[in-house]
This record gives sequence, structure tokens and C-alpha cells, in this order.
Amino acid sequence: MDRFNDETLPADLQRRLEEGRIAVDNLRTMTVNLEQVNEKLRLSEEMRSNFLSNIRNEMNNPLAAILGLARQIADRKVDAETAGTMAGTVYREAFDLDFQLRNIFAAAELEAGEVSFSIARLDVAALLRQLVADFSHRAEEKRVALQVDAGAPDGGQLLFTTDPEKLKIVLANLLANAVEFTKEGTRASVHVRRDGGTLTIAVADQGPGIPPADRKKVFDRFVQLDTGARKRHRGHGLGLSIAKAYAEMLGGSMALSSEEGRGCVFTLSVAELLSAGSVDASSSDGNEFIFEPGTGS
Amino acid sequence: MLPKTDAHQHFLIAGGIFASAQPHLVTTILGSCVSVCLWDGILQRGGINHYMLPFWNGEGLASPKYGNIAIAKLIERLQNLGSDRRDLRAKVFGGGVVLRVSNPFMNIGDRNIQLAEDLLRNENIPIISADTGGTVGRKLIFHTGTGTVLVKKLPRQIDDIRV
Repeated sequence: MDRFNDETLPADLQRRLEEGRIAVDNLRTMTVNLEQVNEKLRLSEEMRSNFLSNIRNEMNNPLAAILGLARQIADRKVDAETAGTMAGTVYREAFDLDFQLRNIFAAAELEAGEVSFSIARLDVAALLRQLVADFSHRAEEKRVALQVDAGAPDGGQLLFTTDPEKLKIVLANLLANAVEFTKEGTRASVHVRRDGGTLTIAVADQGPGIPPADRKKVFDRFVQLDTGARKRHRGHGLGLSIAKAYAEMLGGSMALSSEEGRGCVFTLSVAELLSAGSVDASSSDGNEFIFEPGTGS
Repeated sequence: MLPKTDAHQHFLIAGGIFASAQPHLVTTILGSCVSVCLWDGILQRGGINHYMLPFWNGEGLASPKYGNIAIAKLIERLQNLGSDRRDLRAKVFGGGVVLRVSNPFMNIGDRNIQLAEDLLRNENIPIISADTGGTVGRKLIFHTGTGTVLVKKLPRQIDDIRV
């Protein structure tokens, strides 16, 4: 044990007091942090219940339109030209429903931990051309020009090994958002670059942009920046949370840069994957342990 | 080694959960991640998770990439398959130091292990064996039908292999 004299004792007490003060300070900081996390979790729960009540309208309205229009076409109550127009509307409403449902299923799968991978070689340029064609009706409605620089000359291929379904869902969401949020009469663009084993895809819009304080938040589930009565945009606020989760699972990342009033750029980077079977996890000098079944101890 | 078996194979990715009534050989690879294997000796079936971070703090999706969610959901999955939680026994693996960090509070591996111990204690599920920590990666093979776990330590430092 340390021995103290008249000189060292006050200094030691002072030191201990100071340590105590720092400990209390740290505890305070931790409490504040915990309170913030707690608030965030509460909000997330609240948004989850809002989602459940909103989903009824989001699903029912397009479904009612599809049923009504399809009925009229099936009953041959309209002439061929009107039927053609109606069929176009049915397709667009069904496309939106399908897109939203796929997102809900993807989020449910991610939250249940039931995601599995299916790795294959994919032509990214062809996938993008397909996606742009899929979203062209939405772009036309808003008079938005969709520009694609697919990283390959016209009609050329850009081969990359990844999970094609997951990459498609990520890109579809980025593209859907870009068209949704870019201003009418402007453009949304996609740039693809391949740098060795890394694929980088940047999706840019000319929308209102996202203020710095909200840039992290947009990747949280159910978060839409315009909510309540002002809500003008479709969707459930799941797309970006899914896109980010998939990007990370594919060994990559999702970044956002934005200039307020000028638009946003979402950048996906993913590393080329090996097939699941080829993961090199064996070692010649590794140890082996066998734990026998528990005896209920 | 595991005996020859006709069990199905499953590769568990980081952030995934697997539980089945049929016997499976589940393989996963851990760095600082932790896997909790739960086994029901009465029904002779089990399940496993693989989480990367201890707590979900409201960011992104509430996925089993986070320990508090992964453990709760694994228990729930086994209960949905008919297990009584009192029959569950746990084995905990992983949580190695794969990235050198100076601040011990930043050691994700240790925090992942601590979380498994705390949550399983709260749930009254005994941990009957564990191989955690250290500066190694681990490859696990869990036989969900017998509860046997085979661990191979990977001497080189690895990051958590996701796929």
C-alpha cells in the first residue's frame, strides 16, 4: 500500500477527486447517448406502426384501379383504343404495386435474417438498359430524361460476378428514387464504372437535395423526409434501407452526396464476389475442436 | 470430424439466421462476428445466427446483423418450430480481434461476446460450451440434428467473410 505524507496526501486526494469527476462526466455522456438511442428506437417503432396503417391505402388504391379497369376491358364495354389506354394504366399501377411488394418482401427477408445469395456472372450494362426501359413510363409521366452511361459501348457488355437479383433491387430503388425526386422536366442519370474488381454505379437526380442533417437518416427504415399531410411521394421509405443493407452484404457500400437545391448522387460500390463454394476458409495448420452435444447441464 | 451424414448443407451469411426441423450442416465463417448455436436436446434440432455488431441503435433495418435482434429472433424461430425455451442450450463462438484497435471499448469482438453472455443469462439459457476471443478467425460447422459443432481456427487474420 502507498504511504502518504502531508504533501502527497492532498495531491492524491485531488487526483482521485478529479478521476471521480471524469467518471461522472463519462456517465452523463453515456446517459445522454442512451437517451438518444432510446428516442430513436421509439421513433422507429412508431414509424413501423404508421407503416402498417398506411400500407392499406398504398395497396388498396392501385389495386382498386387495376380491378376496375380490368373489369371494363374484360366486359368489352370500351372500344379498342380506350382499352389500350386502360391496359397501359393497369400495367403502370401493377408495376408500382409489384415494386412496392418486392421491397416489403426484401425488407422482411432482411429483418428475418433469411437472405441467401445466388452468385452469377451478370451483364451490368444489359441490366441497366432493362431497368431504364422498366422505369421509362414513370420518367415520361414527369418528362424526365433518363440518361445511362452503362460503362460499355452501345449494346456492349459489362460482365461482373455478383448476386444479380440483389444488385437489380438496389439499382431499381436508386433509379425509382431518382425519377421520383428529380424535378419535372429535368434529368436523372446513371454512370457505371468498373475499376479492377470494383463496380461503381452513381445515380444522380436534379431534385431538392437532402440537407446534411438528414443524410444518414434516409437510410433508416420507414424514413421519408416528406411525411404526414405534405407527403407527395409514393413508397414506404424502405428502398434505401434495403439498398444499403444489400450493398453491404455484397461486400460494398452506399454513399450519398448532395447539394441542396441541386440534387443528390447515390453511389453504390460493390466488390466482385467469388462464388460461395470457393470461399477459402481452409487452413493446413488449423485446430479442430469437437463439442459433443450438451447433456443438459 | 463429423460423421458421414445425409444432412442438408447450408452456408450461413453474416446477418443471417438458420433454424430447421430437419437436420442440416450449417457452415459459417467468423472474424469479430459471433455465432450463437442453440440446440434443443429433446426435439434434437437447433438453429444458429451470425451477428456483426452488438446492438441495433435504430439505424437502417432492424436486421439480425445486430446481436440483440439476432438472439431474440433465433429463440423465437426455435419456439415457432415447437421448442420449449427451457430445453435450449447455447454454444457461443467467434468474437476474435481482427482489426487492431488501441481503444479496448472499440473492440467489437469482445462486445459481441459480452452481449451473447448477457442476453443468454437473461433468457436463462445456459452456455454449455464456447470458443471465443483471441486473434483468430473461425470456421464453424454446426450439425443442427445432433448439436455437435466443429470449429476450425483460421490462423491468419481474416475479415468476416460475408458470402
